[in-house]
Amino acid sequence: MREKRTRGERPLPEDVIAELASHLEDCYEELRLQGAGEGEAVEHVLGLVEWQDLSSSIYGSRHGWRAINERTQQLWLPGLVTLFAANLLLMVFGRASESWIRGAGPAGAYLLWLATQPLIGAIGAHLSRRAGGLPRARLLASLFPSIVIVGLGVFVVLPACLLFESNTWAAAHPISLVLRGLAWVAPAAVGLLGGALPFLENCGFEGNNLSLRTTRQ
Amino acid sequence: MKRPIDSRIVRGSAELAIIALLEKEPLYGFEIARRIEEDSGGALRFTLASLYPMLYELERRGWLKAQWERNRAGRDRRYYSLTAKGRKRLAPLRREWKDFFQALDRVAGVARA
Repeated sequence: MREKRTRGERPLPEDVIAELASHLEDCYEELRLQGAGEGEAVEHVLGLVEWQDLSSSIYGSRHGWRAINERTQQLWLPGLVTLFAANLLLMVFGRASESWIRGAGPAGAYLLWLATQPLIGAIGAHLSRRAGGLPRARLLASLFPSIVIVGLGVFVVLPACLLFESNTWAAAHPISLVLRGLAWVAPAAVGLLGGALPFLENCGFEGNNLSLRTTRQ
Repeated sequence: MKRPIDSRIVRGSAELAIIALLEKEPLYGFEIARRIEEDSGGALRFTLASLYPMLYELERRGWLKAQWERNRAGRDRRYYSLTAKGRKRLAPLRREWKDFFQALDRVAGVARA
């Protein structure tokens, strides 16, 4: 087993080797008790394991890669898609307000951008659901742009105003600053939520994942 | 009351089998595989490649703990037992499976087949 272990891309730790060896030993003894010859039993037992796959699989389980991969597909990737799409559209409408929708101005560009938020929220929730995400993950994925903006405002912009810029207005009115930020973010969050709502219910088979809604009896 | 079944339930079938078995007594890997096969009449079988990644995953989540002990034959084996966290998960998992089979029964009539 040690020889096999060293050949793998992901070497197995000693305690795992010892445990797998003891399992194979038990398999071997059981086969011998059932009347198998020594050579036959050894051959059978060694054939039980696809070493490369096993070592990758055990490595993934011990380091939590399976859970991380799941979370990435169900939350982080859809969340990043919504964040990218929301910011891209904001930039596009911002630029457009300087040219072809000049009459509308920044407020018009913002309203146009708000109108696209349900679509973005729907995309985020759909991508999460397709990856097997539960309603909570779908909701977070769709609201991701607003969550990021609030997080940046509270943990980066506000402290920067207070500590580095010595912004006296922000220092005097921190709650007002946060409320103004929320007033800017809240309509977008409502739009994102509106788009996500149809995807928050479980409704049958989706992609490769089983998702059923049952009635409690 | 409507309640969603966890979409990971299909992949989690092995989890329930393992922790339900370990609720009764601590066992080591080979025994776990053999007992599940025996208790299911041969319908459920764990291979080495499916059993140990699952055991390590459950251990990492804190549902199981493992320690080396001597078995009856005097050999060192890694015994798995259920932690308080794992015990707490058992009832919801059982409920999810019950819901799943009831739903399947309504759709396909499996209980009457």
